[in-house]
Formats: sequence, structure tokens, C-alpha cells
Amino acid sequence: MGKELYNNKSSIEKILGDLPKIGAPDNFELNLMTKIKNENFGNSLNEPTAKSKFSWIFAPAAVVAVSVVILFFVFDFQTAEPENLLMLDPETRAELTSGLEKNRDRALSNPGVSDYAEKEVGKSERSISEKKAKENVKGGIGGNISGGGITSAKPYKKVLPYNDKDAIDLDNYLTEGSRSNAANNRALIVGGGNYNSGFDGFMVQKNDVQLLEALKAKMDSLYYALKDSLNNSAPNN
Amino acid sequence: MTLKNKLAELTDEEVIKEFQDNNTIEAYEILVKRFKDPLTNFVYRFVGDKDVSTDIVQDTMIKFYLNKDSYKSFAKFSTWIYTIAGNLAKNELKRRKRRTVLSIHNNDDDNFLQIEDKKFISPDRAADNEMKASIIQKALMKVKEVYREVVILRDVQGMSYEEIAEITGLSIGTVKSRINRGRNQLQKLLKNIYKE
Repeated sequence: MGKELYNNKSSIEKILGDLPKIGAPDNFELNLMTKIKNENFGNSLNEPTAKSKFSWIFAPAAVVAVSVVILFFVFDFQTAEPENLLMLDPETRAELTSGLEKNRDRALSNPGVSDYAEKEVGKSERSISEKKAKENVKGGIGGNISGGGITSAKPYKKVLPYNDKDAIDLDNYLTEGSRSNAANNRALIVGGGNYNSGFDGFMVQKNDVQLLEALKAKMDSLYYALKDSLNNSAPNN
Repeated sequence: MTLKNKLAELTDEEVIKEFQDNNTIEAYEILVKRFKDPLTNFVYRFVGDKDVSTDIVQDTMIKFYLNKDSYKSFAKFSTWIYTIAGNLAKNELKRRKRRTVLSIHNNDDDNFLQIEDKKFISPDRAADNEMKASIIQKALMKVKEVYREVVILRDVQGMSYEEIAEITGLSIGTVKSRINRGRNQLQKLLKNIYKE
């Protein structure tokens, strides 16, 4: 092996050309045809997926997106959630709205305010009731249309926090079925016949003080806001 | 005259047309017979492993069988099949690189030289030729992949610049400069190896 063999560039071509030829093994065709016959194509069916050359460019964007999602769940940005009246339970809402109506009536009874306020409130009420009437007629919902307004067929029923089916007659229970209306007898708790005990029964009611205070404050603020607005908008006599 | 004999007289492009039009398996077999050895030689010089190169050529032939209709008659069949084999060989090298990065030991040096020389040569000369071939193959494997491919196609396979440009998808100018750089690298490497 002479040193000069590798020093000349033209000899590189020569030595590469002179390299022994490597051929396929003898069973190459047999193996190939067997594969084709058995449809055993292995990985040949799967085309190599062409990876985008620019996929690495999107890596920072992906990291930022993931970080934002994580931060969104870790930190609660909405610290003070405004209370939505429509989200309240029906009982509380009914109480609130009845309170508002009372306040409005009280405000309207104010001399000097009533004329203008009645006009405005009446206008808006009329338009709302007309809209409702139209909707009910379209939808086929039962309701009595009278004059310009509508009276609901099903008035709001207050849901009581106990069930009549589960109730027991306490007087009967305590006297073990031998209840009498005699005054010298054992006192009646609930009452029977013409005798009225004046006792309304047991009812455990959970009073959420905080909620009640919040509602009271809200009602007061609404009342004063309404009062102020009516006072401001009323024509000066 | 049998069909196989008739087909054997046709050019590569005529044979593949027969395979495309009539799905003649004999035509496919003839093309496999014609290209299995040159492709194996090319892939072996490129990846440096005989078993792997055989598998790559098998995959090339299967791809050719499955996607015969993707060959268009305006191109030479040889350049088309060499492109498939070259791409598969490059994929194998990429896979190997990934494995090398992950593994602690690099056993590439163990994979050199599995030469089949069917000609009878005296044992001394055979050993000398084997050693030469081993050194050259080792040096070839150290040449940059982009240069190695074109040098093998030009100097080992004896292809024209135009054919190489078509196979690699490069311009003729780029092919020429890459061949030149590849040869220079190889020359340097062979000098260093000789010093050792």
C-alpha cells in the first residue's frame, strides 16, 4: 500500500472505482417475492412523515399558550364575583322582587312624583305585557289576555321547606290516639276541632345571616337608587 | 421465446411500462434482477453495513412494487429507483444518529468491512485488498453525508453529473462542487489513516 496512492486526487477516483462490488445476497429475490406474496410489507407501507422544517419556530408559542392556561387555573382573576339576581333561588328572588314592588309603590305615593313616574312606569309595563302576550299567543301557552296586559294562568307558588306527606299529627302522636278537646285535658300543641292552639308547629329554618344582610343592603341600595332617580327625573312643580 | 426472455431485451423504461400497464410480475422481477446488485453496492458504501443495506434495498423494491404508478416515463428508471434507495439510506443514517446520541457506546467501528469477493485471489493479495477496502470504507464513512452520497454515485457507481443531479435534486454545479469537496475530504482522511 503505497503512500502516493492517497496523495493524488485522481487516484482517489481510481481507488473508489476499484473497490470490490458488493452484491445482494443469493436469497434476495426469494425473500422479496415471498414478502410480496404474503403482503408482508413491514414499514414500507408507512411513508416517512415529512416533518415540517419550521416546526421548532412554533415551540415558544406553544410554551406561552400552555403557561397562560396554567396561570388561568392557578390564579383566580375574578376575585369579586358580582351577584346575579337571576341566579338566586326562586324564594329569595320572589322576596326581593316583592320588596322592590313595595318600594316602588311607596315611592310613587310621594306627592309630586306620582304623575310623572306613573306615566313612565305604566308605559314600560304596558310594552312588556304586550310583548309577553304576543309571545304567549305565538307559543300557545295558556294565559288570559285581558285588555292591554296578561294575567299569568299559573301564579308563583311558594315552595315550603317541608313535605305534607311526611308530616305527622303531633297531638295524636302525644296522646297516643286518645285525643279529646276537653280544656282540662292535656294541652294541645297543634289544636283540634274548634280549639285553636295558636301554635304553628315546628319548622327548622336556616337563616344565613350574611346572605340576609347582603340582601337587605342590596334592597336598601335599590330602594334609594329608585327613589333618587324618581326624585331627579320628576318635573319641578 | 418466453415472455421473460422478451422482456429481458427491453430497456428499463419499457419494462416498467409493461409492469405499469399490465401488472406483469415478470417485468418486475427483471427490474429487481437488474438493480439489486448496483443498489446494494451503493447503499452499502453509503451506510457501511451489509445487512442493513440488504434490508434497505428490499424496502426499495417493495416501495417500487407498491408505488409503480408514481414513476413517470419522462425520467430514467435508474434515477427514480436510486432516489428511493438514497432516501431510505438517509433515513437509516438519521435513525442511527439518534441511536448514537442516546447510547453511551459507539460501536460503528465494529460494523466495517463485510466484503464478498467471488473472484479467486491468492490469500496474501486478498488480505491486502480486504485491508485496503476496509481503510477506504472507513474513510468514506467519515466523509460528510452530503458529499459522500455524490462521491459514491460518481466514483463508485460511475454515474454522470446529470444523473446524480436528478437523483439528489441538486443543480449540476452543486453536484460538481460537492464531489470535489468530498474527494478532498476523503484524500485528507486517507492520508491521516495512513499515518496511523
